[in-house]
Amino acid sequence: MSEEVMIRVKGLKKSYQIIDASKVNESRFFKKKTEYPVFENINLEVRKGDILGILGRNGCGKSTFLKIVSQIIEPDEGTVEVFGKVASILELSMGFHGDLSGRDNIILRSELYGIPREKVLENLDSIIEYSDLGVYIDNPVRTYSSGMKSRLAFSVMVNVDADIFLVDEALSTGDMAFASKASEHLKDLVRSGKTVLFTSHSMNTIKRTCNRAIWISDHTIKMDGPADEVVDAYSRSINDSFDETVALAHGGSSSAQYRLATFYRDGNGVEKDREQYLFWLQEAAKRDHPMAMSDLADIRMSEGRTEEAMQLYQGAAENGNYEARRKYATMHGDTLDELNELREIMKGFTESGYPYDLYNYGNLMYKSALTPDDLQEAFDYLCQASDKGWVDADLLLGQMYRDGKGAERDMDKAIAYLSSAGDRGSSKAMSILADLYYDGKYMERNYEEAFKWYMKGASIGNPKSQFQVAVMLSAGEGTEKDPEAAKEWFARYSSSMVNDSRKTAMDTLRARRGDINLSNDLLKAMSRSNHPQSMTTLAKKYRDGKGFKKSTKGAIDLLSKASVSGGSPRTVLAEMYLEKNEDGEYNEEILRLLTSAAEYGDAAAMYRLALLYKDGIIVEQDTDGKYRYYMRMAAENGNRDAKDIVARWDNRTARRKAKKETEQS
Amino acid sequence: MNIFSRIIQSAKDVYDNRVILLAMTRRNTAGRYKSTYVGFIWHLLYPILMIAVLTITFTYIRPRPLEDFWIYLAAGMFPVTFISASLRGRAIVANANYITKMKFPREIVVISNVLTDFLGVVFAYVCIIIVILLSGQYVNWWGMLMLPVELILMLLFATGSSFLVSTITVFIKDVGYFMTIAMRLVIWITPTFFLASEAKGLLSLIVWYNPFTYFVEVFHDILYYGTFPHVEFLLISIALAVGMFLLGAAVFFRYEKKFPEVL
Repeated sequence: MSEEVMIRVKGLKKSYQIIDASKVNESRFFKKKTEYPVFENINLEVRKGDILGILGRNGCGKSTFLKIVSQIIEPDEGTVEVFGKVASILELSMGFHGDLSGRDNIILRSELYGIPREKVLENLDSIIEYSDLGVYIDNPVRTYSSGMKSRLAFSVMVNVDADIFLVDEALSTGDMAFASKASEHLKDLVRSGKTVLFTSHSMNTIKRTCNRAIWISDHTIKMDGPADEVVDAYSRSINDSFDETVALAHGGSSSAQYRLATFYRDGNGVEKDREQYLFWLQEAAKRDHPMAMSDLADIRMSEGRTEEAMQLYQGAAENGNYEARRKYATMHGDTLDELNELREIMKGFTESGYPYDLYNYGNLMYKSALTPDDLQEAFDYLCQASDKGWVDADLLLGQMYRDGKGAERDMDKAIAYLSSAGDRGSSKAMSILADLYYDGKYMERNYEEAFKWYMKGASIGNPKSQFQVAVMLSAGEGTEKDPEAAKEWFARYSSSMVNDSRKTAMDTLRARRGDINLSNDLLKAMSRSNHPQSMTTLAKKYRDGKGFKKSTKGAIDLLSKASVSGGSPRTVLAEMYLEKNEDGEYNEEILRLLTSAAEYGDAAAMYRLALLYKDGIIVEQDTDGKYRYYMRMAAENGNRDAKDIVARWDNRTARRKAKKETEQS
Repeated sequence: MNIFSRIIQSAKDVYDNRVILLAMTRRNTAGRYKSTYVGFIWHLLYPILMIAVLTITFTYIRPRPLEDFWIYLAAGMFPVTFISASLRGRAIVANANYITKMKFPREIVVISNVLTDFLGVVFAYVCIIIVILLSGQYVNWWGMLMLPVELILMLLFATGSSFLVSTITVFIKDVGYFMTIAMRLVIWITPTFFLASEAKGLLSLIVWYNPFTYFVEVFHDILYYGTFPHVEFLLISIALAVGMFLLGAAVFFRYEKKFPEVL
């Protein structure tokens, strides 16, 4: 983009005379008019090569702005300088004569744009071809559909020669193929050094076509920047704005109605109002909004109106709502009793107070929730598990806060819980977080944070994150542009995609006692693609010198990398540090690694922790409480050594009990 | 800027944008009978049939004892309909689309509208002259020379009045409707169906205060009476044409900037 300024607007002010609503009834004959400001202070420079999209609500002055730039309307104050020939295509269907053929209208319109007749006739064939109207070209324009009309109009525009093009609502009609053709044409114009300004209500069009966008609101330019950022901010403001939503909801948009219902439910931008909530929920459900139907069904269920609820669930299920489908199936498949039994069993486990029992029950309630109360219960138990440090509980709580399930939507809390899970190695949490930051649907987009979390996920072998990192590195989004690094990550991604087969190959080689070197090569390849298990396995081999040259440093390096993911790499690393830990310099690190691995559910870590507490190494000796707590956890999570020990304890207790009984009798 | 330099400026603008002027005029004329079977021929057929209807009416249904009364009717009829069309004031309102969406000299809209109607009048006179020649009527060639001059004067007058009335109509829509009715009256106070000399009393006073009369009488002189037109009529129509044009242009250029906002 060059620095040459094509349009310079300075201190633009403009007001219109409008009929004052408050005075409408005063006089029937002469309606009082008042000055209403359209623009108060607009400053803008458009440079050569810009495709500038103009966004804003109806009536915010988008078209007026184009009219001022094209000097159809004069500003009240301020200056508008335009350097170059302007073609203003403010309405595509302007000036068509219905009785004339498409061909004649092409000539007429071109002449209205000031192109001499001879020149039009010269280019007529190419214009007709561009319009793609085929046999219809010689039929009267009044027989055309609106899409055909805009195709005709746009093909005329293609032939107009100017430096600056002003296009109002141009690409909103016409079929997909033509819309993309038109948007490509605008890009071509810019490539050949022209400047384009255009308004559209289609945010996708602006995102796809423009390099820059302005958002007009409250009589001024509210935002000016790269098109996708402005479009995101604008669409968020529409989604979050109570007034906008009310307007859309009254207009019959079911998604707006549902949104409005949630505003009333959560007291977002308006006072909580259960009646309004129910009203809008019903409205949205009437229009087959799946979420609304599902939510309303939940309410009907809790009111005991089962019949109605079932119908709603069915409707929502047919409209693709996964939850409703499950609820409908559960109730219809007569599995409710089985489910309740399972819930009872799992709930019984939670009395142990172990975090995984709490989590498992919360998880079940979340997945099988039929009513908001179920979700509430899931939420409560997950909170307890989270308090005891269980990583997966944080992951699920983050999702619940994000979706406003079981708790009011709260993005700050969602981020906090997801970060906590991500920091402790949950690759799912990493990728959810990264997506949240990246697509900016629920919150302000933040490429830096997105990149950070994708990077974390990528470093422990999450294929999608690896791809995303590569893409962001090559585009310079959220990080320095680095084509070399991007290349490496692309390689890792493509390598990750075949890790499953590598694993199979390795297993087969081992089973058939094949070439051990081949098997090792496969392991190395998997480890290079940041597959955490393979990195851990390889590290163990380095540590023990099995099949590889013994290298403690190599093992530690690999494990440090893999230990971004929770679980076993951390335990193995901690064990290596323990061996080296002569002066206690690794104390803190070991404890951190083991605790977080245990919270991630790694049984070996729990066992190791139990032993530390038993012997009072690093930590304070606690042979009764924590030793037993961790040992039992380890046993229940499948650690063999722990199982033996716990079995011995239990035998001893049983024997003592039996002895006591015999003594008593 | 005084009105004369503004008019010269405007003349330049219009000339620079003549492609648009011609396109709009062509759009109006070509579009008019486009979907009919005989198409363009309607431009000639329309005045001929008009004359035929009037002739039949006033020869057989309501006979007038005047010789060749149809020539009298035809000569006066077309200027009246032409000027009254320009006074109807719809030129700008009907083309609001262009005014609000296109950057071009806005006077083109008015001029092309007047031009379109003017072409109709020219067609009509061509037909009348052909019929006159074919029927062997007496023709005063010196008088006939004044016909184009008077047509141009009438064009000037119509343009001026269209500027004036259509500008007012932009701001006060009622004027347009009022003028439509008023023009019906004008037909009856202009000597088209009667001779100016027949008008008695109040009507005679009104007739000679009616600017249309002078244009119509010039045409009557040339075509019906076959003489050189009365010089005072000629002079008065020159004065009317120039005066109306200046007045209309002054009003138009004073307010045209407001059009895109008001329309």
